[in-house]
Amino acid sequence: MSERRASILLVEDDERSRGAVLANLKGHGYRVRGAADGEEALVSWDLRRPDLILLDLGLPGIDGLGVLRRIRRDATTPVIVLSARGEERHKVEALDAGADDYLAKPFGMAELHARIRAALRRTLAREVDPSGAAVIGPMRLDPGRRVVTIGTAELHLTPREYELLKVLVAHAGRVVTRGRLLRAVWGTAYAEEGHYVHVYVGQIRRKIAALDPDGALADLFVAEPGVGYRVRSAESEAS
Amino acid sequence: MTRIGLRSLIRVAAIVLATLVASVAGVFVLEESAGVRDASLVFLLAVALVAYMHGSWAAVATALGASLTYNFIFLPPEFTFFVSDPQHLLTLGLLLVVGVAIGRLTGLQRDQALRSERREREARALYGVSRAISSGKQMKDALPALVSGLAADVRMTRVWVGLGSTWAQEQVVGSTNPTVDARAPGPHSLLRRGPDQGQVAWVRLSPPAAPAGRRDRLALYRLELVDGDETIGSLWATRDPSLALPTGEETRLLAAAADQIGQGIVRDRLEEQATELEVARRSEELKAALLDSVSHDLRTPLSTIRATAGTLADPTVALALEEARAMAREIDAEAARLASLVSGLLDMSRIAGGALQTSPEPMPVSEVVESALHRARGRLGHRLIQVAIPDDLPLAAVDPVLGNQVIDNLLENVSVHTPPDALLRISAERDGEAVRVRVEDAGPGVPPEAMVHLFEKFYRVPARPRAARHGTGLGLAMVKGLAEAMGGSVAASRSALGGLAIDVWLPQAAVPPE
Repeated sequence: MSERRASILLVEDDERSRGAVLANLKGHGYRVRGAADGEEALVSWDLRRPDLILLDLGLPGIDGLGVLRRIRRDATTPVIVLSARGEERHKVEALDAGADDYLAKPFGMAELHARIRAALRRTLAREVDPSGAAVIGPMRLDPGRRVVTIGTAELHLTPREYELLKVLVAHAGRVVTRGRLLRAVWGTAYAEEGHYVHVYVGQIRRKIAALDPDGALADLFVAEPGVGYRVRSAESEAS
Repeated sequence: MTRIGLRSLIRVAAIVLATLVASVAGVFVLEESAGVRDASLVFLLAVALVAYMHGSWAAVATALGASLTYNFIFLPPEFTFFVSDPQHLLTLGLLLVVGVAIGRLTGLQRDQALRSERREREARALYGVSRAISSGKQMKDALPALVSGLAADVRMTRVWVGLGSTWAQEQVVGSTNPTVDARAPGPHSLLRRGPDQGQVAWVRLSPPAAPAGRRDRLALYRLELVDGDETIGSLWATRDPSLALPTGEETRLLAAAADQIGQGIVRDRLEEQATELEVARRSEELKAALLDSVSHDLRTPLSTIRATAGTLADPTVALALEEARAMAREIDAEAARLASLVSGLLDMSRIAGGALQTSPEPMPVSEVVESALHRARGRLGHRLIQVAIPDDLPLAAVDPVLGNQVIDNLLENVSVHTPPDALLRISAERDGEAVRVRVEDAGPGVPPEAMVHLFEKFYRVPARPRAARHGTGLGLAMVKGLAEAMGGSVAASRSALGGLAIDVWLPQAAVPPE
C-alpha cells in the first residue's frame, strides 16, 4: 500500500515514549522522524515536509499549538494531536486551530494506526463513487442532488439535518468540533447554542435507525464528549 | 420561711374585717328576725372560712375579733365589752376557744395542703427540666422548650441561657424569646450558693461595665452554670419588679434547673468530643484501607508487567514468536488496566477535592448513552443490549464529558461483573424535575447487604474473585461523585431482570430542544 511509504514526523518530548512509538511506526513501514521540542519540529517540518505529523501538545519552548499554527500557515498536512486525557478544552482549541484529529495518552498502538490510516487516506483519496457521492456502508450522500439514500430508501432530512450530515460526512473519520458544526450549519450567531448539535444528531440517528433495521449504520456517528462528532469513514474501523 | 409583706397584711386584715361584718349581719338577721336565741355559731363559720383562705394566724385573729364583736354588739349590756350574764360569759369563752381551735386546725391543714401542692408543682417543674434534658436530645435542642416551661413555673417574663467563661462574654444558646437582644445585661442579682446548697442568697451585683444611663425596667437574675469548679455560663431571668424576690420554692427550682442545664451542656460537650474522636479514628482507618487497596491495585499489574517484560528480555528463555506476542499483549492489557486505574484515581481525587469543574449543557440523554455505548462495544461482548429512551424525553443538563463517564462507568461495571451473555438494558424517563437514567442487567445481582456499600470507594462485593481481579472498585463511587457534581444523584436497587439496577438522576435542562 502506498500509505505505508508515507513519512511521519513525531513531535514528543519524552525520549522513551518517542523511541517506542517511532520503532513501532518504522516496523509498519513508515518513514519516520522524531523531534523533541517545538523548535526542532519546525526545523524538521521546513526541511522535509512530512506527510503526517503526530504532535504532542505539551512541549517545552514553542508549545504544540504554536507549532500547529505555524504549520497551518504553510500547508494542510494532516496533524494528529496527542494530549493527556481530560483536557477537552485543549483538544477543541487544537482542532479549531486546524488539527485533523486527536488521540488521548496513553493510547494503544492499534488505535494510533487506525487514526494514522484515516488521516493519510483523506489526503490520498476520497471515498466517493463515480457520480461524486460519498458512500458509507449502505448510506449514499449525493451533494449534487442533495439526496441521501440508505439502500434503496431515501432518507428524508430537514435542510439543517442535511447540512449537518453533509459537513460530518465531508470530514468522515475526523472529529468536527461542535463550534465548527454550528458555524457551518447555523451560522456564527448560534455559537453558544451547542445543544442544537446534540439534538439534531439525535434526530438524524433516529431517522437513520428507522431505515437501517440490521444496524449497519448504528455507529455512524461517534460522539467525542466535550469536543464534537465524528462520522466513521467508509473503511469501517471502529477504534 | 415566707415573708409577709405589709401589703398582704393589710389585705388579710381587710378580709378578716369584711368577714366579721358579714357575720354580724348574719347573726343580727337570725336573732332579731328568725328568733334564734343564740346565733354565735355563725362566727365559727367565718373563722373556718378565713382559716381555709388565709391560714391559721388569720383565723385566730378572726376568732378573737369574733368573740369581741359578739360581746360588744349582741351581749347585754350591748355596745360595751362588759358581760352581765355569767351564762353569756361561758358562751363567749366557748366561742373564743372553739374559734381558735377550728382556726388553727383548718389553717394547719390548709398550710399542709399548700405545701404539698407546692412540692408537687416543684417536682413537676423539675421533672419537666430533667425530662427535657434526658430525652436524648442535645441540650441545645432541649433548651427552648425547657426555658419556656421554667419561665412559667417561676414567674419570670423571660429566661435564657448564655454560655461563656465570664458572663460578659456569653453567647445565648437558648431563650424564651430569641428575637430579643439579650446582650449587655446591666446590674443584676446573682444566686450565691454555699457548699452543699446550704446557704442560698440573692446578691445584688452592679458591674462597672454596665451601660450608663440605662434603666432596667425589669429585675434581672442570674444563676451560674458550672462544670466542677469552672463556670461555663449562666441561666438568666427577668422578672416584673413589682413582684418580690423569687420565693424559696422558685429559687430552688431555678437552682435545680441551672444544675441540670449545666450538666446537660457538659454532657453535650463530652459527646461532641467523643464523636469527633470517633470520626477522626474512622477516617484514619478508611485512609489506611484505601491506601492498602490502592497500592495493591497498582502493584498487581506492575508486577505482571515487570515479570512478563523480564521474560521477554531474558536471553536464556527461548520463546516462540507467538509466545512472545502473547506476552506483549499481556503487558499491553495490564498497562491499559493501570492507565484506567490511574485516571480513575485522578478523577476521584478531583471529585473528592471539589476541584471538578462541570459545564453542564442541555443534551439528549440518548446522545450520552449512544456515545458511551459506542466506546464500550468491545468490552460488552455479544450480550443483548436494549435501549429504551423515549423520543420526547426532556433534555438533561449534563456535562458532556462527565455524563459520558457516568454511563461509561456503569457499562464497565456491567461488563466486569456479569457473564458476557447477560442482558443489559438502558432506559430513561422523566421523573419530576429530573431525568432518570437506569442501567440494569440480568447478571447475578448483588446481595442486599452489599447494596448500601456499592457507591463507596474501593468497595467490592465479597466472594467475587473474578470481579475483584478486574474491577477497580472505583467505578460506582465515581458514578456517584460525577452525578452529584452535576447536581444529580444515584441509587442502587434490584433489577426486574434479576441483576443490579443503578439509577442516575440528572437535572432537567431549562432550555427546550429548539
